[in-house]
This record gives sequence, structure tokens and C-alpha cells, in this order.
Amino acid sequence: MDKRGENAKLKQFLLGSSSEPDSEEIGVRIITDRNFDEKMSFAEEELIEDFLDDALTAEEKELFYANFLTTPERIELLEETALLREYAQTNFTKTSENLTEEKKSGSFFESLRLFLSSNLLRPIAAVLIILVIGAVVWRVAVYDASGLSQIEKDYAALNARDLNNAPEIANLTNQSLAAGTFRDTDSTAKLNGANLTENVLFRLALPPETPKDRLFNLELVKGGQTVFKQTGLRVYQNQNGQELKVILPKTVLSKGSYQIKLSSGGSYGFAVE
Amino acid sequence: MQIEQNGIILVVLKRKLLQINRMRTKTEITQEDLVRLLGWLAPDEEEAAHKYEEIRKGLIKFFYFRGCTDSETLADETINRVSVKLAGIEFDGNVKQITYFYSFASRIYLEDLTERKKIAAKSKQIVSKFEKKDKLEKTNSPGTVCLEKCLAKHPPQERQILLKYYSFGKNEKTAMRKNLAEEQGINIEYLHTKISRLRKTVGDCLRKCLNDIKL
Repeated sequence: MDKRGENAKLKQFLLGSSSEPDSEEIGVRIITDRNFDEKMSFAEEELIEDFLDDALTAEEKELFYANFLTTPERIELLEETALLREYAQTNFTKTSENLTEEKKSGSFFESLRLFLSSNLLRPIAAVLIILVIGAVVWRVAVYDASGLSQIEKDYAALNARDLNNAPEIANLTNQSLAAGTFRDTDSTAKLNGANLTENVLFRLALPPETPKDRLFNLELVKGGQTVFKQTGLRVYQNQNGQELKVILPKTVLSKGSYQIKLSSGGSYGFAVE
Repeated sequence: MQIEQNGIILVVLKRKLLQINRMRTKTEITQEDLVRLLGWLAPDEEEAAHKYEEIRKGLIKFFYFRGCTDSETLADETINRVSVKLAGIEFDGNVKQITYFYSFASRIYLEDLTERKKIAAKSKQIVSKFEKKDKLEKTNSPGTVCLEKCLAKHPPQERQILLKYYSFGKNEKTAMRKNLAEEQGINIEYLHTKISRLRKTVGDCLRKCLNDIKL
């Protein structure tokens, strides 16, 4: 089934209007599959948006009141979403301005293309294209020295915060590692892939002589390939000495053996089962 | 030593489960019912206790997504009814435990519907203010003030994504969200997950802020 179809079925389930076989399939999945929660939560949020957009039929609206909007949590979710949308639609004018800009720049490039397509100006056009490609290559390969993908940058922003004062990390899967554990197979730390939270907090013990203000880069390596990178990780003090704290997404932690390599040369092993 | 410790933990867990169940549910169970249930779940006690917890968590989610008001009590009621029912039944190997739990849960959900219909009438009143034609909040309302405070706790990049995500209505939102995901170099599912988490953090902050104002 495509994602739209699946999402429509989940919304019907939430409204209490799905067929018995669909209800059973979805119900059993909710009970057994922890990863299904996010899909259900998304369907919940979409249904609320459909309601706010007035996109529900009269019958669906009745079901929305009778079967969906019956818990304080959902009423709160509706209130928050409505407030957020109202605020975003009133205050986020920049978005539409950006769009107008994009449209304008589209028509500018169109005129430029027509202008340069004359025979006389073709060599100039070729030089211009080479210059633009060069600039793009420079921007990507040289200027963006962090070398991180967008997801890695998002996590770098997350990890740049003071994780000692981030209350949400209390609920994350938490794994402490000591350097060198990868070599000893029996003592390799093992994580149960089925029980991981969406983000996983790793705490990496550092040698006592590590300067407090040093920043570390990190590579997550699986089968010799780097699967995730982080930069600018800070040193934290704990009761036993010093450590690095880093949050990594569950999506990069499939089954297998991993090594976390630090820019200092330290290496930490663990396995996901 | 480890086995002994686990044994003690299990005894404490059993007592706790029995207490919780007796406190809130309609169907009462005995120590024997609980032992029978755990034995049915798995021959190994520790594994059975783990399975019990997993099924209970799953049932709580089930009742939550079904729109029930007290998911925990209903999950416990489901487990109790299954436990009691087990006394007179011989199972062959074909019975799936989860399907068995589901059949009881779906019945309890239907029973709960009657209760919810009473609340539905109330919720209709509450949400009438969100109907499309009505303006929701005025500038400087507590909601807006708190929202601004809560958004300010996030880095500008996160704020921008969240507001951009919610800044488009019915007709344009699908296309614009797809564009936003492309801009971010992520797929649309990851964008949804990211927004969902951000919204939850903002929501928690918002509730706290509004409560503080009320106090």
C-alpha cells in the first residue's frame, strides 16, 4: 500500500470508521510494534490539520467529535496546533516573500537564457556556465568546511547545546562506552535495536588529561564506512572524570558492529543487535 | 546471586501489578490468575514479566489511539479479563497471544464508547472556537505570548522550519512541505518526524507557560 493510502487508513482508524479487518491489523500493530507510534502520531496530527482546514466531510466531522476528540491530550494538541498555525500564518510572511523572490529570479533566468541564446553571445554563455559551476564546487567542497550533511548539521546543533541541562535526554537510550572496548568481543557493549529510542545518547569516557575546552570531531563507522559524522563536540565533567556526550539518531544504528572514532584517535566499539 | 536478585524483583513486581490492578479495574484477579497469565506468556518468569510489560505498554497505546480517556486502566482491565478467562481454557499452539489480547481490548473499547459519547458533546462545545471562520487568538493573548517565549528557546533554524511548516493552509501545504523537505536535504517522512518532535517540545513548554500564567 502507498503511504497516502496507509495514512488514510490510519485516519479512518482514529475516527473509528475503519473496517473490522483494518481495525484488527492496525490495532495489533499498535500493540506489538513500537516503531508504529510515530506513524500513528503523524496521522493524529494530520487529522487535526484536516479539521482545522475544514477538509473533513460532515460525517467525518461528527466522528471527529464523537470518537477522536475525546481525550484531554487531543484537545490540547488541537489547541496547540491551531495556535501554532495561526501564529505561523500571520508571522511567517518571509516565506511568501521568499517565494515571490524565487518566482522573480525564475523569470530573470528565463530572460538571461533568451539573451544568451543568440549566436554572438554563446562563448560568453559557456564561460559564465563554467564560472557558476566552479563557484558551486568551491562552495560545496571548500567553503562548507564542516562537510556535514543536513541531518548531521541538525544533530550538530542538538549536540552543541549543554546536554547536562537538556531535560529531554533523560528519556533517551543511554550508552556509556570506554575507549578500546571494540577489541574485546566479549565485553563489546550491546544495544538492543528493538528497544532504542528515536535518539540515542552516547557517553564516551575520555582520558583524564583531556583539556576541558577541547572540541572533538566524531565519526560513526560501520564495516569500514563512515555512516555519520559530528563536529565540535564538547567535554563534560562527571564524577569519574571527563566524557563526551553525543546524541545520534536511531536511523543510523541498524544491526551490526560499530566503531565511534574521535579526532583525538580514541576509538569506542559497540554492537546493535 | 543475580538469579536470587531477579527473583526478588519479580516477586515485588507481581505484588505491585496485583495492587495496581485491584485499585482501578472492574475485573479483579487473584495471585493464581496472575501466575497463570505469566506462565501462559512465557515459561521463563523473567521473560514472562518482560512480555507482560510490553503487552501492557502496547495496550495503553492502543486505547490512547482509540481515543479512550483512561488508557492505563483499560489496559489493566484487558489484562485482568484475559487472566481470568485463561482459567477455563486449553490453548492449542495456533492461538496468537496478541490476537487474543486484541479481541478483549476491542470489546473493552466498545464498552468505553458509551462513556466517551458523553464527553464528545462537551468537546464539541470546546472546539467550536477552532472552526475555520473564527479568529483564534489575538496578538498579545497569553497563548501568543507563551508561544513566542517557547519558540525563542529554539535556535533560529528550528524556529524557521517549524513556522514555515505550519504557515501554509489546505491547498498549498502538501507541495510546500515537500519543498521544505527538499530545502533541508531530508525526505518528507523525516521532516514530519522532526516537526512532530519540535512541536511536542514547544507544546510542553506552552502548557507549562500557560499554567504559570493562570497561577
